[in-house]
Amino acid sequence: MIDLTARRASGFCRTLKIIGLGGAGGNALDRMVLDGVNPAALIAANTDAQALTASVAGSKIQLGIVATRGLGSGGDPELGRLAAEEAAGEVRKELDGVDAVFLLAGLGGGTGSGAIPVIAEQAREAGALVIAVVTLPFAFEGKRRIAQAGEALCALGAHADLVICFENDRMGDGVSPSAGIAQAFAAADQTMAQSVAAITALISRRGLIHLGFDDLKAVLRGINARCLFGYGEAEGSNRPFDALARALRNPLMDKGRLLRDCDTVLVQVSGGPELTLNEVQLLMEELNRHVDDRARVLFGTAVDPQLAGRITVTIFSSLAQEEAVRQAPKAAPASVVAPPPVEKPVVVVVEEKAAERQQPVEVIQAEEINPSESEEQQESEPQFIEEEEAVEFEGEEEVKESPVQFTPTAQATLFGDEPEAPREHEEPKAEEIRDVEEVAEVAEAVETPQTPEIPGIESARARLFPSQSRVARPVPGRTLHPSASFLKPQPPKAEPESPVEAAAPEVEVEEEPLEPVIEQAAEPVIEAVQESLEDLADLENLEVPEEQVKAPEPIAPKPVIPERLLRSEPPEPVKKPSSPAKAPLQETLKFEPVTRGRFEKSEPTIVDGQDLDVPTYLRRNIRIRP
Amino acid sequence: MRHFPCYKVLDPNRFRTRTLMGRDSILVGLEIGTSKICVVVGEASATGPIKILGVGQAPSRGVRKGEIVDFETAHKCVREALADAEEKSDVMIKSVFVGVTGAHIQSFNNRGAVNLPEERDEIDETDYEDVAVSARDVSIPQPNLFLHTILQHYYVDGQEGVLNPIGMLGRKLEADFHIIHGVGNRIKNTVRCVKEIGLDVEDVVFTGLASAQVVLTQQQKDLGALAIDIGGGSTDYVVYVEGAVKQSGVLAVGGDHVTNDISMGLRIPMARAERLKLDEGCAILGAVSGEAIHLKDETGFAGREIEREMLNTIIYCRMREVFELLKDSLEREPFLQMLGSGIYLTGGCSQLRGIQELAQEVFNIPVHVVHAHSTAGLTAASENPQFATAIGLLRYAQAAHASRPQKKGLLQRVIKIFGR
Repeated sequence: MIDLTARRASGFCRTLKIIGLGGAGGNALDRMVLDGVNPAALIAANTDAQALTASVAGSKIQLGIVATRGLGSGGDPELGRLAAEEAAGEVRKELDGVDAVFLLAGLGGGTGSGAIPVIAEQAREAGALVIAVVTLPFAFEGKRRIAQAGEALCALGAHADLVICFENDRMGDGVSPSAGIAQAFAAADQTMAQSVAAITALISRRGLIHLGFDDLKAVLRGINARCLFGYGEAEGSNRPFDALARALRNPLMDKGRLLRDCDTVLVQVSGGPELTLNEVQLLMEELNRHVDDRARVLFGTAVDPQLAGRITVTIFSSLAQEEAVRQAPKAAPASVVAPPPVEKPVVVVVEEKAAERQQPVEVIQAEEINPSESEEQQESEPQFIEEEEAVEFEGEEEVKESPVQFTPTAQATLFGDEPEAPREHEEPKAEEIRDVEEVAEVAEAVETPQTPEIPGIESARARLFPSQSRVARPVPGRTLHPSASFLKPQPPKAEPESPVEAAAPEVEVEEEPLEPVIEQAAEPVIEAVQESLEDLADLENLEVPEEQVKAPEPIAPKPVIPERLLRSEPPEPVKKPSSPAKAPLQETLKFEPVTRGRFEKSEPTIVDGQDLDVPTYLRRNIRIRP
Repeated sequence: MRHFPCYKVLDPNRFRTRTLMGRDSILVGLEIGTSKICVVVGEASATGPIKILGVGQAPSRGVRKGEIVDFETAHKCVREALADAEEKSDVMIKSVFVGVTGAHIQSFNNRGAVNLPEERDEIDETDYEDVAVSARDVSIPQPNLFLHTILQHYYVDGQEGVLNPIGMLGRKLEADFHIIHGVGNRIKNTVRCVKEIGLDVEDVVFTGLASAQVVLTQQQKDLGALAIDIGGGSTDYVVYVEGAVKQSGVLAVGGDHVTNDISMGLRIPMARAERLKLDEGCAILGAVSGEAIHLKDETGFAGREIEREMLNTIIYCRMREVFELLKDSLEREPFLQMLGSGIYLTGGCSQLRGIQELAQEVFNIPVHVVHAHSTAGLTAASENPQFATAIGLLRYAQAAHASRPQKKGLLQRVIKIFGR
């Protein structure tokens, strides 16, 4: 699985530690070692000395030497909390200079529930990004434990950047009823381990179409939401389908049935250098059958040389809070804000092509961050060339799809227009716009102008909140947070951002009123997108009404860039004059599943990346109208 | 459950017993196709023409793209076809040659070599076997099985053009082979389906190879020919150059896909689409545009006008793609340039109007639509390209029987003596 020792030249997440708290956390760590994670990055922390001795983790922290005397916490979270506070020094020592910390625990017991908020707080103070992966107890474990888990979850929500919460009850669904209990628990451990691996890969693997921490956060809104997670890996000629089938076979996915109810789904498809666009397309078409038509699909793809011959699919989603089976009593979550259910088809943030494995354990000096960031800026040129190729291909192959494209331009500009954003961002912005114009010329395609704003707003929001919480806890002795770059998809911003954060608590006050403004602005835009998408889906009515194209301009927070984008686009479409939106600028996702008729259930015949069971005229977009 | 007339129910005394007595042997070819299951019973001596005694058929269900996807259903259909064949040929079927196809079938060329032991310099039959074994000594995917190892050419001490090396002097015997392999379990599924009926499977034959045996003459094989068998679920091809198989393969697309495309494109039921394809379909464009075909209304289907051009466009797109994909895979090796004799289309889908012209347009090589030849008896059966594979299985069987050493058991010898 992930190789934490691999060194890499540039990246976001330099050092990473995974802490398993309590019994469940320890078990998950053991599973990760089995999966090939370097034990050096793993820290087991437990009150129970016996369990701690049995752990294979690289370092171990005995919690509560005085409070529990090496015995367990006896299911008392208070004791767990005391024990964790007692070991604070040791924990801090382990977390020194760490950029990201994963906390793994099973909530409901003593050690996990009691210690996790304390350790999350300490990790936060050490300047690390905190991602908690927790499980909720089985229903049969009793109301008391569930309540304890709920309290711990609330406390954790205040300190962790991201909480991924799995329900043990769900985990059991995927295991056959006759399977041993050990197997059921192993499935739970494996899911936790996989999710950690998937998140690290997701955040650190630089994608062709990048997904970042902000996207993940948007998907897993609210700490009470039930998290759906699936991971699949496959190789061979049928690998896109196999990988997806494996991802959906995950116990939390309920064979993909639960995805129907989700309104946001994050998907990352990664593969070796031989990954083809067609494979991604086939996979996404297949996945879209499981996803509601109106759902927002955050899609990313990455090329990772280490995956040679294989393809991996990572799916994250969460069910809406009201649909979650059990609601833990909770105070308002401080750090995770649930965004309104937004309808957005695809987020495509173009990133550099070369992707690398990025989970090094070695501590690398903070100064090294700067060169790597400027590197990224320089490398932003070729990525657009890449884009152009996709466009040309697109023009030939796909006609009926909705043209939804998001470029970093819109994002960069939106940030640039914010009152407190630093000035330097304007230069890369200008460059990028020129590139975008070129792309538009090459494609001779019409881009719906409202769409680029959404990721901007999205990541603006994502950017506002982390900084908010970060301001509340000024980080001692560090002027530059590697975690800041970890958080933000736009590398140039990381550096100027941190002084602002560190300096002024009033920034928080300034930022806060912005939130409703942006969201209000976003909603009509989103509606317009949705409407135009629905129109596009209907082959017979391809005309995008002019009002929709214009609609966002007055509402958008800063209409300057959409206007410029509009101007750069040629008014007439390439292929059919009646459908200006038919020639999309780049690969987009199909929302209507491609039917294979009689061969629907049979094994697909894939030759040169094409599914031959789909009628040729459909694949070649030859119009047949009965 | 419906009762099928099973061969076991019939009185075995009714059947001829010439298998044991006569010079000629009864051969049975069974093709489990996507659209039909076909059993051809024939008799033939080691050389000479095959006399077809009867053809049994049953519509196929539970088969997709040349492979069984619903074992139970396919099993029933095979029984039905066998019973039909027994009835028509008046022969009790004991063993069959089964054709297999499917996307899993792959092929490659390889050379095997053996060095003769020090004390011997005359090539004998053991070397003959060893060289084939050594040619198979390559890694094929783990679940795969060798289906055919077909001899191309011999080389003795590097000397080319040796036809029969046995008895020749030499130190090293080499031979080129064309090796066809497929996924073991998928092949075994077909075999199991037949064995469960109580029949012996004498051999499993790649259907493309089988039909090439009867649609190509030896002369055509020598000149260089490409045989394309477009069936219901798959398109099999075999390239012969200088009389030897050089390239072969399967594209899991066939007439079924055309029907499916029509059904989806014109939004008509599959059965109606199939009939429309047979009655009106044409694989080339350029017919009078605007010409309409009236689909009569019948139960469950309201009548409707459809445009001929539209129907033909759907067929054209699909068939053109099939030929283009074939051409792509054939162009990976240089043999397409060596087809002195041309391209021979056979199989049920080769009856589609305009397919010859379309293939010619894509390949730019003369194309002929052919059926099995050099048969006697029920010639009407052999004249249908649909039966090319099943008849080809007979030819393969004939060749297999001929090359097999004449081993006669004691019992058979006794019967022979007393049978006079």
